[in-house]
Amino acid sequence: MEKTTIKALIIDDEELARKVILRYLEKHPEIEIVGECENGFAGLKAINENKPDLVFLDIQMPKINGFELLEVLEEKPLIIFSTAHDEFALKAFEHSALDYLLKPYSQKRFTEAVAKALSRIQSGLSQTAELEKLNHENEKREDYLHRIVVKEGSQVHVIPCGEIITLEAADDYVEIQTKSKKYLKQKPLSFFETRLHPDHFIRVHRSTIVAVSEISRLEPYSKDNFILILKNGKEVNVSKSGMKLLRDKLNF
Amino acid sequence: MLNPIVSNKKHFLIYVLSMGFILLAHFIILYFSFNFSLEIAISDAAIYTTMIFLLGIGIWYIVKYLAISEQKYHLILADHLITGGILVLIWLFSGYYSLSLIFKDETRYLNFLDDSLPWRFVYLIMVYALLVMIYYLINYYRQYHEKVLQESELKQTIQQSELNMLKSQINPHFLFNSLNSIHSLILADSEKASEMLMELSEFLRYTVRKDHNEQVSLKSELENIEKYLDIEKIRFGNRLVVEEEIDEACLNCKIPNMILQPIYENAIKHGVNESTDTVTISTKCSPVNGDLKISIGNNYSPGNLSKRGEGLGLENIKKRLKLHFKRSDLLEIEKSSFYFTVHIIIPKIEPEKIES
Repeated sequence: MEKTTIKALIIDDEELARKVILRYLEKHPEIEIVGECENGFAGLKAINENKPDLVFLDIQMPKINGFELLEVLEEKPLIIFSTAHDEFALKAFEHSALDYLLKPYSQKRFTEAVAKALSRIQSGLSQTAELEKLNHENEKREDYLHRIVVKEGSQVHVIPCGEIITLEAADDYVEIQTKSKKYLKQKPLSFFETRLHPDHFIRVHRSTIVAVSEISRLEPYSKDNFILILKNGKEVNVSKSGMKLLRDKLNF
Repeated sequence: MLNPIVSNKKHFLIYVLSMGFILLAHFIILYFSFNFSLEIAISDAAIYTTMIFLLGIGIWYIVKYLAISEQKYHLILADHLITGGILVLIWLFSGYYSLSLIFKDETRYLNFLDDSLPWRFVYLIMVYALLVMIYYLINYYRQYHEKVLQESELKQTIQQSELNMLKSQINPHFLFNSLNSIHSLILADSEKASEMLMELSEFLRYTVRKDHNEQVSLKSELENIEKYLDIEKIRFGNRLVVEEEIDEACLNCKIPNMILQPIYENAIKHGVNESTDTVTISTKCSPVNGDLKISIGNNYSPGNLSKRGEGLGLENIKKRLKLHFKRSDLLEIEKSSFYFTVHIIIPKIEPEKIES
């Protein structure tokens, strides 16, 4: 045996889009298709189960999108993005060396991308650095987060932002308190400060962000200090700058 | 600018009537107060008033030439003193000489004519000043009117361009994904590919047409949306179901064009795109109290609750409805944890308005 076969997975929510990739792959007998997934969740599961070498990944998908999927993957296979048109995504791609296919694409273009991926696999190079960079670029997106994807052991949770009560810095992690549970996510608190909608979330303290809708009342603590009482009874310290933000956002 | 008296029949009539009044007053004074003969009284009044009548029309051109806004006040005043002086003297003496020639044997009248010269001078100056004032007022009013007209025109242009901006534009994500689906069909089922390509072309043609007609019938809007949804149905397969309940009586109602499109795009974006289950988009159109009520609803994945903000698309529809109907209560959103509905009211248009 000269060549080992390469295991590939297709993740795209549109059947017709998956069919194009399947069709194109007919010309690449060295690639074996181990699965087709129609959403990010299924994709995540399939990656963990099948350990593919190569993944064709769409970005806009139900449940969790392509970027969120990458965020929670521990061992990242080689990724070729296959996407229609997403200005933010394109910007993110331009800053990393990853290959991406813009729908619709030709067999020629597809073959080029596959050839690139194959040579990487054969030379044993990983994409981790580029994916990190992509992730980093993607964080600069101008739109606000609607949900947060958190990995907990083998489980992946999607937390809608409306469920969040507080976010607290804890070393390298952020502790996300929702109405039902507590989650840990490895990100600086400043990331959430910029990416959560400023009308709904306020950083009241160096180490705490609270959801505006969860605030019950504000009470004086000492001469210059205040504490926030949340609807669930929890008390949160408010710093001077936090107080100023509260005043600005809530107009009092 | 045209002479306001000559150019307008109504103005001319008013001018003639006021001159007639002056003539009558002139005659009455001479005939009843000074007891001159009918002949003298009529001639004196007629000659002086006719001259005022003729030259009065001409004063317009002096006023036009000496428009207040363009020159300094004291220069204008000086110009009026000179032109007014010359004009009044022409009035005064041509009347004086022609009358003293006609009635050269009437000594009492000739004496009266001599004595009355200063009074006639004052009278004519006053007539001149009055006419100048009226002309300036007309001039001012016209300029003001023009300015108002220009401003409202400008406002209209701004509104129009704003409307054009608010009108939905083709969503590139939709376009490229559709092209990709067509590509896929070409490889697998060319007949279906051609079908979808036709539908996409027709939809694009409707969207990009530069139609000045802001209002279209509900029927043609719904037809276009059907094309859009047909395309999306091919893309999403059984993940998308479309339901319609349209009252036939509504089909000819006029609505602002492309106003519903963003609602369907939202339903696709937040409903179908984000859900692994089947999403049903339902449309209901019915007459309510003489208005047209359109309700568009779709179910969505409960996990996306917080994602469902009142987006830019709906904000734009609100703005457009406000620009069209001057009302801000025409769009209403009904939201539960799994179902989203947009209700739009298109106010009744009076039958007479349609005809005109």
